[in-house]
Amino acid sequence: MGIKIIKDFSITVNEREVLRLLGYRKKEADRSTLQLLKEKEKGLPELVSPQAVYAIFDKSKVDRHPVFKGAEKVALCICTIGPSLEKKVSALMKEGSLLEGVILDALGSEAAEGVANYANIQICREISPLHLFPSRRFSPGYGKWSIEEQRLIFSLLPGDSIGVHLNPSCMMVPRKSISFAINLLFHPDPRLKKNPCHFCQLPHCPYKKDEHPPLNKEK
Amino acid sequence: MKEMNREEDIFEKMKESLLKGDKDEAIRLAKLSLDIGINPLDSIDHGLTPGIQQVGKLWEEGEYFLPQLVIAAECMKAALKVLEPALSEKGEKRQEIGRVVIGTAEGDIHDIGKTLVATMLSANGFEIIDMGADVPIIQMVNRAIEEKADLICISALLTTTMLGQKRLIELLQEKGIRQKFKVMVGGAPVSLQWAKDIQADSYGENVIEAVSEAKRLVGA
Repeated sequence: MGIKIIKDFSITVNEREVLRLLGYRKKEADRSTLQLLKEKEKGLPELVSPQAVYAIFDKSKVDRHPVFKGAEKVALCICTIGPSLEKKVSALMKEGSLLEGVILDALGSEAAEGVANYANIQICREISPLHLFPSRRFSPGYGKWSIEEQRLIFSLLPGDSIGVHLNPSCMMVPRKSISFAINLLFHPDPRLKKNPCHFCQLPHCPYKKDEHPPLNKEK
Repeated sequence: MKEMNREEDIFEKMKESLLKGDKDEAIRLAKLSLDIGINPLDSIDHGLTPGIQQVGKLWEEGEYFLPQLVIAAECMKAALKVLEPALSEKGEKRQEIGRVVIGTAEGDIHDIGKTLVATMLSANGFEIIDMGADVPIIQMVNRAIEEKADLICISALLTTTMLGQKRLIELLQEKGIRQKFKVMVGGAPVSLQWAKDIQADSYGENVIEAVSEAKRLVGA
């Protein structure tokens, strides 16, 4: 399989996750926040342009980084919602509509996750004939895979084909973009059932998903 | 006595408007306070400031969430926009508790968290010089010198751009002006340990902590 570019597909946004990004973990959001969230969500299709580029590589193509341990092949992907939403967020923040800006930004983050979810499913479908098992997707900048490793992904995939590039700090532009890898294994990944936040070492990450027991207490 | 009650009533309602996130009401009360001759400084000190402080307290207690914090800051900004020209006309100025140069480190285009910190600092009486995102360290330092800032706040959302925080402190040391400025760092990958390692003066884990730490640093 060569490099694939997919565009103009529809995505779903997980509202619960948007609320989590806004700080609502255990409590319900108030009515006015929910109303504004719904309103901004309706406008999303005009601001979001889902695109992804991905390919499956032989393990020899990727470096010997421990994150690829045990992989037979590795799928790499870059995806984005494009630049329109973040331009709108900047404009809102500039004009003092901070709440609208913050809510739209959180929706944008989840929309980008929606694009990554869609691309992830496409990759899983394509590897089905190979009789390999996918790991969870993982990204540079999380856990033990440093953000500088973005360069590996961008050296193997043409980010420009979907309008995404890396700045010198290895940050993707547009911001609402996600790059990830999936290890393709001969056997199912036992870590698949665990929350990926489990493996990350950031102590106070605001994006940390639900609470979970420490690794050594897991069966 | 009646006047006194009316003033207090307006201050209380101003506070409530922030707690409820009612921007139109905050603007209406600011205009009303001017119409009936209340000193704008009193409206700020006894209505808006206690309101924003109460919102911060409720956020810390887990009663309020980011949207309530943000909308309260928006309300306060809108009310200040009405009151501040009247203050200038009287030749008065809101008491500035400190001057802050704030920005996101070079190479980092994340802006929202930094903007929220800047807004809350401003709402709490700091004079803010917001340099935006992707700011070269040298420009931040020069601006801090130019503006005679008390505090430099530098945010970074990436492990690569966190190094800019370290470089900023090193540059201040090289120039022999480290003691002139307090430096506060923040951002998702930043920790208290990192702040200690790079000899920053403080670290704000969240918006409210950033405000209380900034106040502590300037002795307010």
